Amino acid sequence: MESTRNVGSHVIDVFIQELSQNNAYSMLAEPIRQLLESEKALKPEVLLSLLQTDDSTSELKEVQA
Amino acid sequence: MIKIESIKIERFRGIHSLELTPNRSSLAIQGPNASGKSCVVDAIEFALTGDLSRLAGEGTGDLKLSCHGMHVDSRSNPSEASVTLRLYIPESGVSFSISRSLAKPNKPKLTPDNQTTRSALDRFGKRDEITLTRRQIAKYVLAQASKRGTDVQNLLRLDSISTLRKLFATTEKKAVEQSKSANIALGQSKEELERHLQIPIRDESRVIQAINEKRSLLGLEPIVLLTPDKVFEEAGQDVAKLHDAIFRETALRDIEAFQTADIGAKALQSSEEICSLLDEIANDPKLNVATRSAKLYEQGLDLLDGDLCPLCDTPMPIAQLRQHLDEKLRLSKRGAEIAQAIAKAAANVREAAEDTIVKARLVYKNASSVKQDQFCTSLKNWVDSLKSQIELLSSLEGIIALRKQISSIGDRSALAEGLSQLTRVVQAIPDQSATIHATQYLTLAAERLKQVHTFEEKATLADRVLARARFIHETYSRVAQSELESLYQSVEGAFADAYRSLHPDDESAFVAKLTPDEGKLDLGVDFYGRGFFPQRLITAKGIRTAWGCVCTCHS
Repeated sequence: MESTRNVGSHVIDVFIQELSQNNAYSMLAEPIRQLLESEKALKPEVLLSLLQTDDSTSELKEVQA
Repeated sequence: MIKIESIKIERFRGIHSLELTPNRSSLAIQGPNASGKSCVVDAIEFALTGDLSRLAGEGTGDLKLSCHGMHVDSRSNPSEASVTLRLYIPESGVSFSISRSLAKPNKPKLTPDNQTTRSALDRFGKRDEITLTRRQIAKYVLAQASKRGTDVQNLLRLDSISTLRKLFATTEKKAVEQSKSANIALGQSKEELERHLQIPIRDESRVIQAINEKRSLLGLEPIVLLTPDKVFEEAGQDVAKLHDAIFRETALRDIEAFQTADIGAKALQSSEEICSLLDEIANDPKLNVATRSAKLYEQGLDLLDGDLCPLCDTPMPIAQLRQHLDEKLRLSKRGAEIAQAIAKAAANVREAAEDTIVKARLVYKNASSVKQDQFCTSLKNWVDSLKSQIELLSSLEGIIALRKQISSIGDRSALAEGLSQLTRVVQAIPDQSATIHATQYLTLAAERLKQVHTFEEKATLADRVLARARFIHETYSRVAQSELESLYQSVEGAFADAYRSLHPDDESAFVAKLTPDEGKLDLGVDFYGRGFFPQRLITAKGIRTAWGCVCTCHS
């Protein structure tokens, strides 16, 4: 780890990498990464909504719209 | 490493317009207070990251980059505020420039814009160092003992890890609740279908056989698959009129199911348990107070640093004070256990009551079909009253208010006469012909089977969401724990070295150990080789100096 400043970002990177390497949950990696980078106030309801669909990306677009 | 060739700042923070050309050399800036020295550092940070750490985190109030990043003369026009850096990467020999405007801080303009320069920006943007102002250093040195760990986490930007972990934990908790509700509803719908069919629905061949017997009576082709749309897809206009009519045998079984719902027994049993626990709190005033004061005692223990109670200024030896507060904390924990046990007992009653309401809904439908309007009104009022009681059972205050009524929750004695009358009316329905009987049987079977399928889909979805939420929470927690342990191991050595260099005469054996604990930052310190102790147990002076070292060695 190069710097303490971005530990949060680094943890997210590793977390997303682990998700994408898991066959059962890899489809969630990209939508969750987008959600975490969306700079919107994150709420459990938004995340639950994201987890409800297989086509998580389109759901995310609706949530962010 | 990067080297700065030039910096161009326009309408940014306290700088109106400035151009500097370090030409890949070190740059020192000197000037009086408030002349804009720190603004140059801010500008470099902004150009590299699109962010400004001085305007983020606790203690910065309503300050925002988008509102307060511009020069005062351009405060309504963020597009005028910009920073351009010309950079040089020695290892690759590449020069490029980054330009960012406050109007679009997340969209830097790179020249040239290619894979190499984007990769470099991403790498350097993440690698920026922590630069502390004098105000920040003073803040960490003077921070309260109980808040110092939080402040340091904020300084290292670890608060976002804790926030995200809480988000994932809350999401999982909500997913558990949704899954539980969906599966309870599924169980109830299956129970309603079986009550009608009088056959376990897992025995699909028997169910199909029973349905085909009825279909045969109506001259319909047998079905092969048990799906709601196949059970009675031929239902025509005439048949639809019978939809609201009562299927006598099932209606009688629905009434019996409502009458025998075991809410009464559960309410009585839970009532005894709840009353006993409430009595324990009521009979011990100290326990009652301690239950509500756990956080206060924890804070008191954190603040303890002399022979004076930090909560009430009562003089007392520190050992005695600690024992006193520990005893209070023990009482608080017992109070929390009691509150948890009460909530659990109340949840049993609540679940039984919700199940009874589902059964009451079918009785209401039957009563409405045979025009038992007065009973319908009584039943509706009874259900509304039960719903109010369910609401009260959701909080400790509500449970206390409901205490005397808990044992009688779900009491159906007021409905007994109406239920008897309804039973008589249903029983008096004349024998129906075999075809009408078959039509009603199939209509109701299709309706209840459709309900089962609907709830099955919901339960499957809820279970899938729960599995995903749980996996995400567990994965993130594990990753965060591992990364924090790695970070702390790399930091604690430098921290201890710095502390020993400041106290070489009397504390040369000082060792520190940093450990992450559920998003908290725990610091164990060993001053004299006697083992590690939590930092709050050691004198405030030593630790303040020590935390000052943390700030220094990271700046």
